[in-house]
Amino acid sequence: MSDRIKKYIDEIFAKAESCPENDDMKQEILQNTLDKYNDLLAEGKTPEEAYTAAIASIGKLDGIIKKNTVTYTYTKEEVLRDRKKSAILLSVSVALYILSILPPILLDNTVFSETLAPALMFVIIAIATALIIYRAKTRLPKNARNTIVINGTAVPAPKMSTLEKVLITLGCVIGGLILCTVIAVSLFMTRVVNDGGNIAGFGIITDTYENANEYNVGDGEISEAISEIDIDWTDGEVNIVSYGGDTVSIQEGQVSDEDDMLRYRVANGKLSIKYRKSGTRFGLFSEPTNKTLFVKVPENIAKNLAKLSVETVSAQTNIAGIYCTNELSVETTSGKCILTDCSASDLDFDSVSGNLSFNGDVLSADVSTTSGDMVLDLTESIRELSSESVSGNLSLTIPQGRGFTVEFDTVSGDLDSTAAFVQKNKHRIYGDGTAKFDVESVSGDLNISLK
Amino acid sequence: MSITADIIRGHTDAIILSNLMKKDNYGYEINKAIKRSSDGEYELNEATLYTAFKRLQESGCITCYWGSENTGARRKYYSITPQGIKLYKEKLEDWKITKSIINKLLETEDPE
Repeated sequence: MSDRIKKYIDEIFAKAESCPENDDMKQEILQNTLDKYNDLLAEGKTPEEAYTAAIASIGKLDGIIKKNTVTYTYTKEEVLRDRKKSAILLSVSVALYILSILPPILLDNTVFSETLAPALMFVIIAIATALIIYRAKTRLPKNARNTIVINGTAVPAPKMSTLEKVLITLGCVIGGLILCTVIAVSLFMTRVVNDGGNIAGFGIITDTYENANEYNVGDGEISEAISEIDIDWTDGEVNIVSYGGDTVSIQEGQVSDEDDMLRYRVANGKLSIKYRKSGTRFGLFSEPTNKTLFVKVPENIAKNLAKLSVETVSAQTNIAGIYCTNELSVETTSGKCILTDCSASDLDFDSVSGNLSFNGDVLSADVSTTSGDMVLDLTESIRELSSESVSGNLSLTIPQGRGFTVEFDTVSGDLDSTAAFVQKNKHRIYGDGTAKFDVESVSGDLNISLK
Repeated sequence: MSITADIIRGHTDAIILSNLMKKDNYGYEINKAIKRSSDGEYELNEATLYTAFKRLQESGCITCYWGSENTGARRKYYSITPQGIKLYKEKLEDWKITKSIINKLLETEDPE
């Protein structure tokens, strides 16, 4: 029975710190209790009664025993570093929880919407949870966070200054943005692969135009008199031809989403055609592909059009049999432009990498490109031509009877011509030298052939 | 009984000191002596006893040493110091005054 007493007291001291003070106390109390137990037995109590009474006489020792509490001493730097780390971990985790819905949103309507999207979402949630657990497990003990030791004296830890708070918040925001970008870019890449690389936009695309609500949606026939056509087309193809019909016909083929359908409007004799609904789009999207625009213009209109202007990004432009009394203007980023049997008093072409192939009748041509090649087959009507290019080449075909003066200003471009020039200062003169050709290039060549 | 126990508990230190005035002693024996003197009416538990010893030790009123019993049981003996004797005398005086005051207070009101 005395073993039971010993065991009982051992249990009381089980959580106690092992120090001489506690060991002495344990020894003393054990001995006193055993003495009492033996005395009670001697008084004629049963062992069970004696045990119960002896144990009862111990009382509550909780307040006396030194608990196994380690006193934490950390420096100011350690406490502050701990705070910062925990703040960052918490912010990143919360950011991840918020961002976890991005994959389902971004991958909506793709083949990944039911596989990769939820998987990514749960992976992000798992990472966020892991970070929170890691944060909890690596924090300084709670009672150490607000106390630091300076020269052996524990003092309250300093509060974080406003600047520190702002800096930490900023850091977290920037970190979150970087994380967000990384995730978005990786998802974007996934989607690029998914869509066969057919991605038109990521980020913000502003494609707004005035009077958007006055535009008609989809294909149409126009019987009104048209003197001017203005086309704004992003991707695909633009075809403008003259035909034997009575109305201007606009067609783009099958487009399922109404937002993606073309828009057109006629106002004051001007026909404007737009690629899609007006508006600013944000996010990740693919343009409808193969939007091929056909504008068929009745011959009487095609021969008397005042102005035609086409603006594209990557769409190829084909124009045939259109005669503009004033201006024919084509502007593109990378689209190829083929203008056949066209005429205009002014031809205006502007591209970055798009090529131009023109044949027809113009009085004045103003063409410029960065790296696109330009081929112009001109008639006797040509009066002046101005060309600018960086690396794009310019090829001109001129009727033999047309005299012209060339001023070719280039860094490394070559002039190649079958014409017999007369050199005069910077000018090369052919025939009567009436037409003025002003060509500037960095490395682009100039080729002039006679027909 | 409970009120009496409360009053007595307030004098634990003095009771222990009075016991040690006679001779050095160890915890259980002191407790037994208290029980005996109070005709079995009052007894301290280990926790109270130990707390009192610790308090008295810290204030320099008692010292302790481990006894060398032949029975094998090690006992911690307490011994009163001059400071402890001084405290005991003060406590005793205090109690005498308190007792007389309480006597007067209770007795004057009692006959009415």
